[in-house]
Amino acid sequence: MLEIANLNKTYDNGVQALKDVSLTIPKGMFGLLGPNGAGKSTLMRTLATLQTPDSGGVSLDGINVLDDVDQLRRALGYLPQEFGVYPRTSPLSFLEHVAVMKGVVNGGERKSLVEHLLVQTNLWEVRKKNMTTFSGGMKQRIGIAQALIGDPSLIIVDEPTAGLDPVERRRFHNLLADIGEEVVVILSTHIVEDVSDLCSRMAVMAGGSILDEGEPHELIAALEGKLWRLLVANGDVESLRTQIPVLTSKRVSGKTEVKVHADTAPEGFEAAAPTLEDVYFATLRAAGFSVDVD
Amino acid sequence: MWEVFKFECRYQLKSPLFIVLAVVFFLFAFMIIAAESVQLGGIGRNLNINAAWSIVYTQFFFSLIGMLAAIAIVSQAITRDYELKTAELLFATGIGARQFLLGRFFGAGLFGIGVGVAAILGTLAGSVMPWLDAEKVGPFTLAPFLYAFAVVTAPNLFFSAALFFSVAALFRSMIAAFTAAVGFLVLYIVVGNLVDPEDITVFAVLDPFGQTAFAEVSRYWTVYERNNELVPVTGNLLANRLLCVGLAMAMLGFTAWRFRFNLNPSPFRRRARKSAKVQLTPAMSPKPEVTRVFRTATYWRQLLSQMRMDIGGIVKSIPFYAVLGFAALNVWGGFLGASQAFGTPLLPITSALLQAIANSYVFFILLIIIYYAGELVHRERQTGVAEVVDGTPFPSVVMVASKIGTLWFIVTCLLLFAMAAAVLMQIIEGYTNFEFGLYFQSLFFVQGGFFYLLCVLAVFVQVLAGNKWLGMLAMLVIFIVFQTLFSIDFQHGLYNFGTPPAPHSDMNDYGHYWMPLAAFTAYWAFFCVLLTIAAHLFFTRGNVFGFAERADVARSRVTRSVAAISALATLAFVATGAWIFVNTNVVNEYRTTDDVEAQRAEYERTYKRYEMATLPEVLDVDSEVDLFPDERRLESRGRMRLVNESDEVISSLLVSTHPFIAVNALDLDGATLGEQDLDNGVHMFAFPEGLAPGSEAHLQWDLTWDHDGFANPNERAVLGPSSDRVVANGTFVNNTEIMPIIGYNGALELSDPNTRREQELPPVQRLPKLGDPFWLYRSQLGLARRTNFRTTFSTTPDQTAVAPGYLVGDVEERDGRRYFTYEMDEPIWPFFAFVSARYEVARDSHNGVAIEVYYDAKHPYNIEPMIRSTKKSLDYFNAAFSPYQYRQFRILEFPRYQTFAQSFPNTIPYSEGIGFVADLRDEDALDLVFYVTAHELAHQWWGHQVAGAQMQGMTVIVETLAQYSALMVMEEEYGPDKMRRFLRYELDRYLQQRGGEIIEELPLMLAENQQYIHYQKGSLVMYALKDVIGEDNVNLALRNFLGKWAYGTGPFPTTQDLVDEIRAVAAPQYQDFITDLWEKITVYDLRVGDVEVTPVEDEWEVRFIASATQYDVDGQGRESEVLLDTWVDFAVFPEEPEALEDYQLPEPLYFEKKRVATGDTEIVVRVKDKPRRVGVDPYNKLIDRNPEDNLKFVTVET
Ligand SMILES: Nc1ncnc2c1ncn2[C@@H]1O[C@H](COP(=O)(O)OP(=O)(O)OP(=O)(O)O)[C@@H](O)[C@H]1O
Ligand SMILES: [Mg+2]
Repeated sequence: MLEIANLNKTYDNGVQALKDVSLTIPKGMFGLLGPNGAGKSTLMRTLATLQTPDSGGVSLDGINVLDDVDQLRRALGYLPQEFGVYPRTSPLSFLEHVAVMKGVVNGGERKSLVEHLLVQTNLWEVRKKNMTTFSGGMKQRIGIAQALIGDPSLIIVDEPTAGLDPVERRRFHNLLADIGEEVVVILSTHIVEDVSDLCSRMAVMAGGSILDEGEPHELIAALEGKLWRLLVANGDVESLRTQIPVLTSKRVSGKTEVKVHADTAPEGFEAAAPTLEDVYFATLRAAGFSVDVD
Repeated sequence: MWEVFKFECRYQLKSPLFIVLAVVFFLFAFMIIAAESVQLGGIGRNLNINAAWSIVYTQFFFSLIGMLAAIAIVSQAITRDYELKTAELLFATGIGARQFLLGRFFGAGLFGIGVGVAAILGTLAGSVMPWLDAEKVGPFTLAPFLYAFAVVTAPNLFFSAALFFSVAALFRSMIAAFTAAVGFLVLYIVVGNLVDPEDITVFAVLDPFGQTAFAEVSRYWTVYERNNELVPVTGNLLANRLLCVGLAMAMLGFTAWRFRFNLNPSPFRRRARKSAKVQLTPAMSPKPEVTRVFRTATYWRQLLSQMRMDIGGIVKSIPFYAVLGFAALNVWGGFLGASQAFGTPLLPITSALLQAIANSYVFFILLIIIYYAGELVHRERQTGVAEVVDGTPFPSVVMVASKIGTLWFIVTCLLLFAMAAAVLMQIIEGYTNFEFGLYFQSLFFVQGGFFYLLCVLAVFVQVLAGNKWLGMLAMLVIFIVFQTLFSIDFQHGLYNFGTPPAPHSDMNDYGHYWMPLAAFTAYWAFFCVLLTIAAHLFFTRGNVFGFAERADVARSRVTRSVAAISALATLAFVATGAWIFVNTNVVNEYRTTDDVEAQRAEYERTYKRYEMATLPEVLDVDSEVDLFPDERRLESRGRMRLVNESDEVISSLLVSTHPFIAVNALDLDGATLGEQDLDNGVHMFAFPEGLAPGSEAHLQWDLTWDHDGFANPNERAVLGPSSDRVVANGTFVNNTEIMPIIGYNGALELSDPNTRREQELPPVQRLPKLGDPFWLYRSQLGLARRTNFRTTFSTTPDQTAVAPGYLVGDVEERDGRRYFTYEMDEPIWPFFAFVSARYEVARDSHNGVAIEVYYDAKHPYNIEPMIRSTKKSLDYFNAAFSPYQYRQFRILEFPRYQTFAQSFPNTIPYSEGIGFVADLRDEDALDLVFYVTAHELAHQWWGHQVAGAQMQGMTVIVETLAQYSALMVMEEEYGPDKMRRFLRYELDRYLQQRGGEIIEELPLMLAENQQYIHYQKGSLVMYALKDVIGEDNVNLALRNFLGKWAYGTGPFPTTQDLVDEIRAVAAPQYQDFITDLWEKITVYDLRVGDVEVTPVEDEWEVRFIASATQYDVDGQGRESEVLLDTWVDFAVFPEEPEALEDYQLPEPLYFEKKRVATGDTEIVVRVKDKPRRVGVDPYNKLIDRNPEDNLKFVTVET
C-alpha cells in the first residue's frame, strides 16, 4: 500500500504543480486522470524518486520513501512519460543494462528475464537492432519492458499507451492486468477507457490537486440520474450554452449531442447513462476548470 | 530568410554561450597584451607591445581557437533542433529548407565573428592601458585593428563557421563537427610542422587561415618593420584570402544544395548494416524467477555495465576512429617534423619517439578529454536515458566512476595507439630495439599520469558546471589560469594541478626525475579522490532545482563511508603535500623566476663595482674531485696558485662560488675572509699587507655539491641547467660550478632589457665597446693567463671519469672507487669539464693524435663519422692554420638535458641529444655529426689557441672562425653542393632570428655574443669572402692571425685585428666588399626578371635580366639603399635528373661570376642542354631577404 500525504511542489517558475496531494493507494491498478499540466507527471516523478517535494510524505508498505530512497528504488518499476535510449544500442543490451542496474546480477537469470520481456513486449525480432531507428511505439515498449524488470512492487507508468497501436495497447493492458492485482500500479492517462478498462480505483487531478477519488463504478453511480442529453443542430449549441451550463458537446452523425449535469432535467432533455468520461468532465467542471471544447 | 536570421540573432543575444565566449576572448586577448605575464608563445618580446605585426599575429591565434566559437555557436545553430527534439515542429512551419539554413548560418555566423571581434577589442583595450611600459608602446593607430578584422578575423571565422556549420548540417551531429575540428587542427599542426621553408609558397596559398602567407612575407622582417608595417594584401596573401572566402562560400553552397528537412539519419552517415537474420519469436514462456542482490559486488557489476554502455557509445561511433587516426598522424608528424638542425632526421629510437609523442600529443589529448568529459557526463540527461535509469537502485557513485573510467579507457586507447604508431614507425624505419618497458613507463605514468588525473578534473568540472559547453569553457579557462599562474610567479607544484615534467635520457633514464614525479602524482591523485567524491556528491540524479537543492542532495549523500574515504584521502593528500613541502621548501629552497632575477639583479648592483678591479692570475690548479653519482653528490677540494702579474698592489679580492654549492672551507693565505654573501656565493678577501706585484697567494677550497630530496618542478625553468648537472649516470660539470672563480662574474647579469627594466637596472651593456683599452687585456674568460692543471677525479667503479689533460699512470682502484688523475703538460685556459658516466669507448689514432669517443652503449650509431670528421679536420686545420696542440682528442657523451657540444682542452662533452641520435643513413642528407665534430675540434684553435679580448666581436673570433673551419672541412669531404645547402639553412635562420633581436642587430665585427650573427651570419660572410678572395687567401690571413696572437697573454686580439689580416691578403678592389660584410649590416636584393629562351640550331640561347640592389641596414632594421658594386654569380641550370633534396641544384650549364652595379644586368648565353632554371646568385652566397626569387623557371618555346 502506498500512502501519499500532503505533497506540495512549486517549481522555480512559480507553478504550483502539487497542492496538498494526499492519496492512499492499495494494491491493484490505480488510474490518474487529468488534463495536460495537471501535475500527474510531477506526482509520479516524485513517487519515482526523481525529484523531491517541497513538503509532504510518501510511504510504501511502511517504508518512508523520501528518507530511504534506495528501498523504494528497489521496489520500483517506472515508465516515464518521455525518455530516451542510448544511441547505437540494441534493446537486448539496454535491457540487460537496466537489469544489472536493478540488481539482477546472475547472468543466466538475467538473460532469460530479458528474453521473456522481449517476447512479452513483442520486441524479440528487433532485439539486436539499433534503437535509434525505432518508432515511437517500439520505444514505448522498451520502456514498458524495462519497467517490469525486477518484480517491482510499485509500478508507475506515465501515459503508457501513448503512441501504441491498438494491438499493442491491448497487449499492454493484458500485461498490466496480469500483474496488477498483487502490486501497486499507478497509471496516468488522458484516455478515459484505459481507466475504465483496467483500474479498480482512480483519481481525477487538475491544477495540482486531487479533485475526486474512488472506484470508477462508484463515481459513475454518483452521477446516475443527474445527467441529461439532447441532440441539437450544430449551430444551436452556442445559444444553448448561454442558457444552460452545458457539460459536454459532441458531434454525433451530423448533429451535436449536448449533455448537461443537473439535478433535474432541463427543458427537452432526456436522461443519459453516465460514463466515466462524463464523470471526468463533471468533476473538472465542478472544480471550476473549463472543459469547453468548441 | 530574414525572419530566420532575425530570430537567430535574438536567440544568440539571449544565449549565455555567446556572451561567455565573447567575454573569455576579450579577456584573454586583453591579458595577452596588457599583462606581461601572459604570453603567446613568447612572440615579439623584442617588439613594441602594440607592434602592428603582433596585433595581427595575435588575431591569427584567436581565429584559430575561434574554431571553438564557430562550433559552439554556429554548428549548434543547425543541430540544436535535433538535440532539443524540436525539429519536427520546425519542419512543419513551412519555411524553405534553404532559407532556414542560410538564415541560421548568417545569424549565428555573425555572432561567431563577433567572438573574434571581441578578441580584437580586447587587444585594442589592452594596448592603451596606462600601466604598460611606455618605452615599449608605439604611437596608437587604428589601422592594425581594422586590418586584423578585415584580413584575419572576418575571413577566418567565416571559413571556420562555414566549414563546421556544413559538417554539422550534413551529418546532423555535433560530434562530427567537433571531429572535423580536431582533425583539421591536427592536420594543420602536422602539416605546419612538416613544411620546409622551401615549400612555403605553396602552403602560403593553401593554408586556409592565411597564417603561412602572412609568415611568408613577414618571416624575415626586422624589428622596425614589425613595429610599424602591415603585410600588404597582394600576391599570395591576397590569393589566399580570396581562396579562403571562396572555399567557405563553396562549402555553404554545397550544403544549401544538399540540405533537406527530414529526421532520417543523414544520408552521409553509415547505412545500417543488413539486419541480422530473422529469428522467429519464441513462444511465451512463464515469467522466469530472478533473484536480486544488493551488495558491493553488485555495484562493481553495475559499474561494469554502465561503462560498457558509455564506452559502447564511443567506440561504436566513427569519429572515435577518426580521432585515433589523427592520433597516429600526430605521432608520425611530430617525429618527422622533429628533425635536427640542417634538416637531419632523428634516429627512430624510443626516446625520440616518446619525445615526439610528448610534443605533439598533449594538446590533442587535452581537447579529447575536455570534449568527451562533456559528452559523457551529460549523456544520460541529453539522451533522456536518465529518466529510466535514475530511478533504478544503483548507488550514485557508480555513474561518476563510470564516467571517469570511460575517460580513462579513451586515454588508454589513445596512448596505446600512439605507442602502436610509434612502434610501426620504428618498424618502417628498420629499427627493432623495441623498449616496451620504456614505452609503458613513459606513456602511462610519466606523460600519461597527468592525463588520467585530468580526466577526473574534467568530470568534476562538468558535474559542477551542469552544462556541457559551460563545462568545456570552464576547463579552457582553468588551463589558461594555470598557465598564467606560472608566469606571474605562482610556480609551486603544490597548487599547479599537474605532474612535473620528466625528460628522458637514454643515459640516465628518468634518473632524479622519478622522485618528484612520483610524489606529485601521488599528491594530485589523492586530490583527485577528493574531486571524485565531490563529483559524486554533486552528480545530478533526477530533477534537481537550484543550488540550494543540489547542496541538500550533496549533503544527503555524505554517508559514513563517504566521510571516511574523504577523511582518509584528505589525510593522504595533506601528508603527501607536507612531505613535498619539506622537500621543496625546507630541504631545498623554493624560488620563483622573479626571486632568481631579483637575486641576479642584486648581485649586479652590489658587486659590479668590482668588475674592473685588478685581479691576480691563476697559474696552477690542483684539485681532487669526488663524485658520488648515486647520491648525486660531488665533493671538490683543491688549491689554486694566484700570482699578482700587475704592477699594482692588490688589497682585496672577490671570490665567487656557485650559489648551489656548499662551502665547507675557503682559505686564501695571506688574506682574511671578510664579508661572505652566501646567497650570491660571494666571498670578499682582504690582504692586510696587500698582494704586491709578482707575489703569490694560494686559494684552497673544500666545496660540496649535494642534492637532498627533490626540488619544486620549476627548478629547471628558473635555475637553468645546473639542476641537471650532477646525475646518476652522465654527470657533466665545469669549474665555474665546482671551483671558486676569481672576480666578478659578468655572465650572471640579466640580459633581457624588459627584465632589467623590471628589476630597475640600467640598460644592459652586453660587451665592452670594440677597442676598449682596459678590456684588451682580459680574454673571453675574464683572465689573461693560462694555468697548469692537474686533478684527481674519482667516481664509482662502473663509471669512467674524464677531465681535461692526459691520464697519469693507471686508474687507481681503492675503497671501492676508481681514481683518475689527469694532468695537462702545458698551460690551458682555466675552463675544465668533469664528466663521468658508464661508457663504452671507441679508440683510434691519427698521426700521433689519440682519438677517443666515450659513448653510451645504446648509441653506437654515429661514432664512425665523429672519428672520420676528427681525422679530416685535424688534417685540414694542421695544414691550413697551425699544428694541433694536444696528443689526444676526446668526445664524451652526456645526457640530453641540454643539447649542445662544448669544447674544453682536448675534451669535448657532446650531448646525446645531438649527433649521437641523428639519422645519417640518407647519403644525400647533410651530415650533422661531421659538422658538429669539426666545429668543436676547430675550437681547439679558435678559443683555445687564440682567445679574443672580452669585447664586441669576441665570439666572432671563436664561433665564426670555427664555423668557417668546419665549412671548409665539410666542403672537402662532401663537395660544394652540400655546402650551399648548408648555407641556405644558415641564411634562413639568420634572416628569421634577426627579426627576434631584442636590443639591436650589429655588424659582424661588433657582434655582442649574438648567436644568429656569430654563427649564421658568420658562416655566410666567411663563405662569401672565401668565394671572392679565395680559400688560400682566407687561410693565409687566419694563419697570420694565429701567428700573431696564439698563446698570447694580452693584449688579446679583436675582430679589428682579424679584419686587418683579411684586408692585408685581399686585393684593393675587394676592400669595399669586406667593409660591407664585416663592418656594416648589408642586405642585397637580387632577382631574375624577364627570361627568354630560343632554340638556336641544336643549342639554346638564354637571355635574362637580373636586377641587383644593396641596402645598408641599421640596428632596428631600417633599410636605406646604397650603390652596389660587387661580384655576383649567374647561372643556367638544366632539367633536374632526379628528385633533389631541399635546396639542391643540379650542375649548371652555364656559370659565371661577374662584377655588377646597382640595376639590371642582361645576360645572353648559349647552352647545350635544355635549360630549366636561370639564376642570379643562385646559391645564395649574398644575404638576400628574398632568396627564392634568385631562381626562375623558364619555359622553352618550341
Ligand atoms: N521542470 C519544470 N519546471 C517548471 N515547471 C514545470 C516543470 N515540470 C512541469 N512543470 C509545470 O508543472 C505543471 C505540471 O506539469 P506535469 O508535467 O506534472 O503535468 P502532467 O499532468 O503530467 O501533464 P501532461 O498530461 O501534459 O503530461 C505544468 O504547469 C508544467 O508546466
Ligand atoms: Mg505528464
